[in-house]
Amino acid sequence: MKKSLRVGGVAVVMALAVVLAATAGGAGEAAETPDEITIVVGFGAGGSNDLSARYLAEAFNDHGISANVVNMPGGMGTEAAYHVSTQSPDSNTFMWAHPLIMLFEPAAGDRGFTIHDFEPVGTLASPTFAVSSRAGAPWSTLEELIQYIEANPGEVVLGGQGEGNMMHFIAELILDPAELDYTYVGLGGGADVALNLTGGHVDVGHLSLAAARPLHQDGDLSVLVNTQILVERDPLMPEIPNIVEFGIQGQEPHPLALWAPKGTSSALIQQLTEAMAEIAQDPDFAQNYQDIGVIAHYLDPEETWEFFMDVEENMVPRYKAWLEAYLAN
Amino acid sequence: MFDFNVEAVFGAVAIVFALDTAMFVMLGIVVGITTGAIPGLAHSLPIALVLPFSFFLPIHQTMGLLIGTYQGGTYGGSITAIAFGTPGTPGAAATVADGYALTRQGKGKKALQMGLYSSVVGGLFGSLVLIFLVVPIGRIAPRFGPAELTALYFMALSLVVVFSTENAGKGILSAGIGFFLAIIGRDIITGGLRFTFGIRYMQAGFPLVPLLMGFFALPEIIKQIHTVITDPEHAGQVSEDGVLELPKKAEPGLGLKEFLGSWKGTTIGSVVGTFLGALPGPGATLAAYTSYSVTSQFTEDKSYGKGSLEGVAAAESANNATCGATFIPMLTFGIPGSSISALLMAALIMEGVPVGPRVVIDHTLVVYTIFLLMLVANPFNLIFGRLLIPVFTRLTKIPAVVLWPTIAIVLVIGTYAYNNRPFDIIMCIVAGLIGYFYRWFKLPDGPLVLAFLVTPLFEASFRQALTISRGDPMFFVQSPIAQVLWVITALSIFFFLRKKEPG
Repeated sequence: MKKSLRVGGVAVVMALAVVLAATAGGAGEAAETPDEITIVVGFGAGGSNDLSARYLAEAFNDHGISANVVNMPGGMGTEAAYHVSTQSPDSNTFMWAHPLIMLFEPAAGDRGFTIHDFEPVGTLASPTFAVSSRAGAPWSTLEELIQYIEANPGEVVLGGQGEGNMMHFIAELILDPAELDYTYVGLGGGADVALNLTGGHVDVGHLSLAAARPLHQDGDLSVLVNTQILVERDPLMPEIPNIVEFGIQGQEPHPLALWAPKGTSSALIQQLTEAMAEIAQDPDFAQNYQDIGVIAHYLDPEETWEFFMDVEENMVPRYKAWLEAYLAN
Repeated sequence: MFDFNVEAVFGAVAIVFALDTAMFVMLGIVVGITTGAIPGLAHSLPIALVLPFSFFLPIHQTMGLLIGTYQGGTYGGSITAIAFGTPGTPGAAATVADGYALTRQGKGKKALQMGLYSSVVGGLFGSLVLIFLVVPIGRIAPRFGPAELTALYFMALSLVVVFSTENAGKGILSAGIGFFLAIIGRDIITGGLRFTFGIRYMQAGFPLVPLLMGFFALPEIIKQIHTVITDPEHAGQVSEDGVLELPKKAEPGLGLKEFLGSWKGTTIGSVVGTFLGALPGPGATLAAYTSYSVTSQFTEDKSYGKGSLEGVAAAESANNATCGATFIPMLTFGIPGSSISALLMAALIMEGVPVGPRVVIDHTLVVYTIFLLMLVANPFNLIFGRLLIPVFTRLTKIPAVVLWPTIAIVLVIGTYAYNNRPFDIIMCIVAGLIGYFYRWFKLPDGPLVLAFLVTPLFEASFRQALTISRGDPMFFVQSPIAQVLWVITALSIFFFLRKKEPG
């Protein structure tokens, strides 16, 4: 009995130690030193959101700022943003988020926070998205696709990432359903779109350029156009034209920025901002970002705020009107 | 096409059988088994925690660590499922019914050993299929579109509902409750809120891990603590009739005959796990329950569902068989089919290996290294599992007054660690109340778990298929794959109804 107790005691202590080690990320939210920060990502580990945050955290560590990444998936990133918005300003907790989380989702419904609950630290990453078509499609450019839809109403199926969200809105800016008769289907994430494209279940797909590129090179799909908002040609696939080159205002506001809860120490924000400005100049860092389909593009806090406010003023009202009409149908 | 490259094979052998690689695989196995055995710490969590090592470790060490953690964690989830009726990971939920029943009968060691051996067999099978059939199977995966996936999910759900219990009504009721819990949260299409009762945190829906932890563990914790209070002399000492004196001699282990006697469960689990693991979406939990249900129709073990070694084998071989198969869509298309493969793919990208359809051609050495690591992780899993089984067997003998409050504490910490959300602990407690209700009315747990897991997938596929076809229901039966799946579903229901007929 005593031996069992000893063995059990040791095992329980080991188990508790592992649990405590595993929850260290959560505990990091109450960091003691001001330089130790937690970057919260609103999606699961492994995607471009997560990887771009991890590269940033690693670069922060190289700049003497201890940073860890915590994944808090759910609600298209809004669960994480809500969590960070409720943290105290001295919690050293930051949100890694793009306009979809910060502007479009709160515009679609009450998510418990708005962008005005945060302060910008800086923008550093801009993922590129693309419109691609399945292998063997009878068109090879965006113009030909549009002509095909016009000539064959109701035949083409466009697979996007979810319905009623910003990406769906953008897809309909590119291919206006009021003028073109095609079917939009909301799939899961980019991996789901890629699978449905390669399987021929949809004819056109809206997914990240990083996911599309290897399949394009292998002939499993064909990238038609990119929708990057900060630069026209993505260095990952410079031969692919930008949507504005077709005279279509369908650029996607995807830049990822670091956000602090309102009231966070300006000295800490300044420290992080300066580090981000230096990190953006690092060619290795830019290459790492390029490998995951993200453009390293730095905007300081003022530029970040201006960018997001521009989206809030010019795109979000159109999105809200579109969403109301979409849900009414 | 994937041509056999002898030079790359020898290169991979040299890398994998180097001491440093083996050390990292072993470390991963130990971390995986230990964290997998802690309720709440879903095995994607330790893998995510290990991921940053790819910043500074060479690729073979990183992958050794990650694959070891993955394989170890998948097996580790069965340990607490068998020892305490609390699945360490969602994939081990199907192991609880027979595994914990065996522990209660004083056969916990046998059950733990069966869990280990069948996990290793399933893992080896999945790894071998990965190595030899990666391209042909990988080419099948994209053929499962919304219509085919709808048929697949319906088949899995119907198999579990009709085969999980003698009383189909109870199975349907259980599935209905799982269905209801699954639709809580935001509508996947419109974003509208469903049954959130104005609670902000409910918008994210009922989380899987807190649900499973609360559902399985809390009723048992409450029961055991109640026994500690009302009948302290017999608390925690369990047997077929509820109480048991501590064994006077060492508990017998699993015999070769017993292991081989469960060949049907192990075989079905290995095949079902590999097949479902190769498809995007289903994962280890669905594989384990489907295998468990299918095996129930072929086993001759009268104790199936009430303490059967074959039941443990069916569930455990299936969840470990998904480990190798989950790499298939990733290595053939560069598309992660699960959250785990997304993490492994991220590690490869961070190591400078762009994952896509050409990865097997452009990075043959890396791919062979992964193949060999998958294989090598299984014997290590066996060795460390064997070493740890006596520890976990003894853990079941800890006095209840210490053991169950400790499990309750670990459960709360593990549930919080799942998503760093305190609200998840409340959800865990709510799930515990549901679990208590299930025990009270003797409802089968399989349909609830499966319905909860499959409903969002089914709903998405079903709505997508209807959207693509513009409302044409014939779209669901147009492809040969969908037709086969619907036929299997119809046959299983027919088979079940015939079996139920008297005489």
